Amino acid sequence: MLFSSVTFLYYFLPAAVLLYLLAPKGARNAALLLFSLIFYGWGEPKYLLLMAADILLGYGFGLLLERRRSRALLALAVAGPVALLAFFKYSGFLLGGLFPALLRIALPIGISFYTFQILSYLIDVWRGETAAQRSLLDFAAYVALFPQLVAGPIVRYSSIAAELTDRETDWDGAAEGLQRFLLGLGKKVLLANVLGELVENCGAASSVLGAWLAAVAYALQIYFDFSGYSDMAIGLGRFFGFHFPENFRYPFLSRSAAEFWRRWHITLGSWFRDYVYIPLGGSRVPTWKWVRNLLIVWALTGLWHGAAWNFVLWGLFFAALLLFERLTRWDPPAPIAHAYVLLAVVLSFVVFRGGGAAEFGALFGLGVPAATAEAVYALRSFGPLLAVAMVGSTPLPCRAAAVLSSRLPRPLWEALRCLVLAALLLLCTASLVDGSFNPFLYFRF
Amino acid sequence: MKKRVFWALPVILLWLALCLFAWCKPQTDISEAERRRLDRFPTLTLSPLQSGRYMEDFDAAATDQFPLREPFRRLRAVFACKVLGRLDSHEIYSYDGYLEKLTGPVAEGSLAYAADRLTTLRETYFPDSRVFLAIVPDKGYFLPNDSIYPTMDYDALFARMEALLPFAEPVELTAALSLDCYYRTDSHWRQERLGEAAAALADALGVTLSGNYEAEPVKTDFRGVYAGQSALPTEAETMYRLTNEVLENCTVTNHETGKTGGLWDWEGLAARDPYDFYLSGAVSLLTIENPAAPAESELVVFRDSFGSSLIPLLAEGYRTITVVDTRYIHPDLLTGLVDFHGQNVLFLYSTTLLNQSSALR
Repeated sequence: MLFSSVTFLYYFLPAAVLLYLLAPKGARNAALLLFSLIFYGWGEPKYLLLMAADILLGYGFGLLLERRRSRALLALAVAGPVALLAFFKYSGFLLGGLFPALLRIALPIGISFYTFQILSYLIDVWRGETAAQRSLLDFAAYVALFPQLVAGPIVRYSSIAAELTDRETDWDGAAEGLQRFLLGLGKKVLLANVLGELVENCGAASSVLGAWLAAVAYALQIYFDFSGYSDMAIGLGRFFGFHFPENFRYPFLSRSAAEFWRRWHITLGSWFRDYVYIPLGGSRVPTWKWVRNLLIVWALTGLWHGAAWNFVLWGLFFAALLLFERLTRWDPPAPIAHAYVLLAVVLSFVVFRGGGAAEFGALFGLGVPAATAEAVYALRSFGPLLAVAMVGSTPLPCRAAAVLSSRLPRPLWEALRCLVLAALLLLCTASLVDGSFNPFLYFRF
Repeated sequence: MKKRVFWALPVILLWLALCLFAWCKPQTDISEAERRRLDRFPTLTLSPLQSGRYMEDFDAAATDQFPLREPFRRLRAVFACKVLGRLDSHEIYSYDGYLEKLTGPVAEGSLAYAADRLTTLRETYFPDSRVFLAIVPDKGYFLPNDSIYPTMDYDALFARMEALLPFAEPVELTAALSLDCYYRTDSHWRQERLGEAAAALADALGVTLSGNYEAEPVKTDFRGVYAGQSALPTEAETMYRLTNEVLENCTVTNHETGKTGGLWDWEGLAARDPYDFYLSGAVSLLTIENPAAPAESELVVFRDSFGSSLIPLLAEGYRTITVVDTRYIHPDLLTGLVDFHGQNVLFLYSTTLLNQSSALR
């Protein structure tokens, strides 16, 4: 089920909130689990069994690892979820040539996210950094928690362990959650979806202008798509009394690739840092080992996003940028640094999208005209939206809101806030009712 | 309750009101504006639940059956075009009050396919007939060249079709038409403005039309297909019919239903597409009889929907006009249904269809 769907907004969510609020405190996790299973099973009921297997493995091995912290047991515990992820996500990629039937295996939605959550739980228990969860119901509610189940943020067990057993749903939190959810919904429906139409319609491989339009629009689309989803997840979490970690912090403002990854999909970056990079030795090792660590982490980051070579290439592209920055002690003047990051990120997402050689060539004018009528039309038609999206990807709107809130009388400011959010709800509903373009890019990961 | 709630409360109430409306609203069968059947909520049974089909159907119905569907669609279109500056809504743009669909470049493959279909028809059924080709330009032809909207190279399309159908005598229609010959909200042309086009066609075919018609309004609240698709705010238009004594006495036989009636389908006015008023819209095979015309004068027309309002005007010149739409009947089935015996044949197709001809059989 998509957050940005009429079914979710007007059927599922009200029912879930209502039942949750009516349930006695001790039964609230059961209510959450029930609705989470409905949420997940709505799209792919057959994969409920797969998730149940992952939950049981995680729960059982968590208890065992707490008693006996052996590497062999950890390897065994991790092997189960990893094997399931590998089979469903990577078997076609790795062995599809030999066994074509593997290519037909559909990727269960959200498997990369909840597998990583289970892995972090198991490793944290093994490290003694968190206690194993004794209640199967609470553990299942953590893994299946629908606000963040299918597209993150990757919520580590340790960060919400306390809230799993004891949390308050107050009006203040719910109101904050509502605002965050609607802002995320607006990012997704009013910006990302429309940017997606631009990407589809500007003739990316037909002209230089079309190629650049598609590249820039796609970078913005994926940002608003994914950060919008994260906002919705965080907002929904607040509805139910959870505090999920932030996942984006204006990544396009970065001055280096390293900084970009501290601002983009923060929970994934920190997951790989804490569970792969640092255990491999991190950067406090001989240079060749550090390079090896970097390549492993970024190849895995690429693969996490998708079982295809373009994702591996995309990950290694960032590894190359990080190597370059580290080895040259990259610290140019701010305008050059910003331009470098924006250019690198936009180009990287052409690879990420699987644009192909023709599209890449078109960016540099290889065999295509400077512009076609369709590209010029797309620029004119989507130009204002592109401008809005560019401004929206910076802190300017937040700063403008802060200025307004400090200068306007409080009742006026709150009335304005209420109007904006109501307008967002109505406009998003209107777009969804009209059946506009509505894929969630991060669902395939 | 803390102060934060005061601003959130109206939003929550709005949300709840929409929820209640969505849950309680009776289901609707048809979207008049979109001219399509709306999905209805599925019945809960085990098999579609297991397969996921139930959920897909529910999602589709929840979207289709949402209350205030048309106002919401209009809100989206207005927001996109007036606030975000989009130049089109669902690929339909407004130029000087005329709604038109964005056209792609000339599709060579589509033209070749159409030409192949038409050539096969000729070789199979009327190798010795005189064949005429009249191409109906869509509205885009009449928009200024400096318009910001991408437009196809119409002259190239005309030239290409003429080259692909060397046996057909081309009939120029563009000189007899202008932008106001078309509805503002629909793809089609207006019958009451087709007098000159009919005369040009008749002249090429070697028949004479009186040119004396009376334009009679038949529907004053017509909103065409582009109005519904785009959801942009539009004003209703008036549909007219051109008539005179000869046309009133013509009869039309619909070979799909076996029914015989006049040139106008009054029930069609109330159909999903009121343009069905003209020759009943999408019909595979019709015969128009004019008892006032000489017995030996016959014409066979292969056409698309643009023919529905033009062909009746040609009826003055012929005893029998056979009207065939091979999008709805396979050409092989014409044997025995149409008697080809050397009559003139007219291919009357729009640029829109020729450039997207996969529906031709």
